[in-house]
Amino acid sequence: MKKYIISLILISSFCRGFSQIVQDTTIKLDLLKAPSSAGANLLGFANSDIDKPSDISAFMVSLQSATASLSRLPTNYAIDIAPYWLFSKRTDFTTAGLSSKIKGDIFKQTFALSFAIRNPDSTNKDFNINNTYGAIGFKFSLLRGEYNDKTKISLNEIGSIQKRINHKTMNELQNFIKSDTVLKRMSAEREQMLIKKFGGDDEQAKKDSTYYLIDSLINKLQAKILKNSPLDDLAEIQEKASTLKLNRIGWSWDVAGGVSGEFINKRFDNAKVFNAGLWTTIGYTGKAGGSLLLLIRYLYNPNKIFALDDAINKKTDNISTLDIGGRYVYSNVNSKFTCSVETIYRSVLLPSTIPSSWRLILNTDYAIWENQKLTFSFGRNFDGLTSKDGNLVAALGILVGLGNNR
Amino acid sequence: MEEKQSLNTIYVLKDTNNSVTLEINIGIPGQTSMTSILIDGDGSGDEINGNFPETIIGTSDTLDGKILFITSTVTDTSRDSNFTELIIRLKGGRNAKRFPLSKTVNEEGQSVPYIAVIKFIKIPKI
Repeated sequence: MKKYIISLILISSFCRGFSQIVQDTTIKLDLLKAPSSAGANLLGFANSDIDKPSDISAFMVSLQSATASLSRLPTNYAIDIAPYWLFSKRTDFTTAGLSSKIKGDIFKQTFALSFAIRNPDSTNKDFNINNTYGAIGFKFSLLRGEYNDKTKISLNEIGSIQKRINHKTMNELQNFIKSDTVLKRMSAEREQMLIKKFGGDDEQAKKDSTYYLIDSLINKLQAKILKNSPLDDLAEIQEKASTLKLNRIGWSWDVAGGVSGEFINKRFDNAKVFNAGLWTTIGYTGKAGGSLLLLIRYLYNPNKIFALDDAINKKTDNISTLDIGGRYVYSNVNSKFTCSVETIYRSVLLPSTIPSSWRLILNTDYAIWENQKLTFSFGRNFDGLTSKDGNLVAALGILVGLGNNR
Repeated sequence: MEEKQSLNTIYVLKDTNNSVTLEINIGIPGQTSMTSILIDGDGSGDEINGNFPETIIGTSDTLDGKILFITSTVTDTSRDSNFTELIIRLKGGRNAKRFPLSKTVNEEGQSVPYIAVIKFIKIPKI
């Protein structure tokens, strides 16, 4: 670790000639991240206002409620759907399936569509109340890292307990089916009814009250086995599963995009593009604690222009912006040294009268003791001024001398 | 939707010697499951982590009169929902059948044991 401290001192000495300006932390790299629902977010819907049905019946309920039982177009409505989950279910979406490295599986498991329609009222200042707005968006992943070791171990432990529960339940179930005389008698009666009375037509048989009653009793009787589920195993599994986090390592690549249209005077034959966006995020998380993130964002007619310090876009010009950001973070639980480099480039492609700008910041810190850190940051702000911040010089002179090593 | 963790039913096979397939799907995205499948025998059966893809389990002739036992434990590891489901699909018999079982747990990380017993029968020609 000595070499890290010496490096910090050298960097500090090198920078001593620059003026001490506190770095601008108001603009975060996370601004460039893709929204979770691209279509809905282009029309200003909050995430809490977006319907996310988890099954086909919830999807139908959502649709019927928004369209007054399919009798009219929705007025203000946003929905996210995962088509491969909702309509196919052939793809494995469990934690086992989500560990797949097959590109087709990754795409199907992450592909989501976002739809939104907005008929603004007078409170929506960003929209024309005479017009209707509609948007469609998508997102998917092309690459996904594998679970890290901790996640794999936790999933294996959960799997082992699940096997134990299944083993006990299977033994009990088999014994019950083969030895319970009441169940055996009712099962034989149900089978004979199905064969002799209904010729094997079980749909018809279920409409018969006697058959339905016997079938219900058999199912109720069998369900009692579940009351004997091993409570200690269930408690053990909950302890592990409630804190499980699916952390991954390796490369990831996510893509999202969306476009919205403005229908003038609510006429569908008179429309223009209102705004649009395309986002991509490439990341790498290493085993040793290093992680890399690269974000690229293209926006057409955004609400705010990033290159103008997020100034409101008056939408008189058709503005296109391209913003790029990158971050490398080194952080390891076994190391006292952490370091990050972050850069943002922001530009307006059209019109080209607005200048582009960039920022580059290096942040480092070294934990001397649990509650004391040497910190140092150095970089260039969007306005071209150099910034330097931290307690490195003071720390070497004062904190080490006065601090205690609690 | 009615919550149901247990199923006991009959699956009617075709007169012809058709192949019969079984498929088991676990939901919702992000849950963790282990499923044990056994056709008339001793032991605990094969343990399947996640979905059980559509697989031939026998023919009308070989399955006639046999019982399919399924026990599955679905653990709530999804941070988006506490809903768990297990859907059993059988094909190749007189009709394709879909048997959905589901339960929503009260607390994060809880598990739901599911059990199913399905008897295969071939209706003799009259």
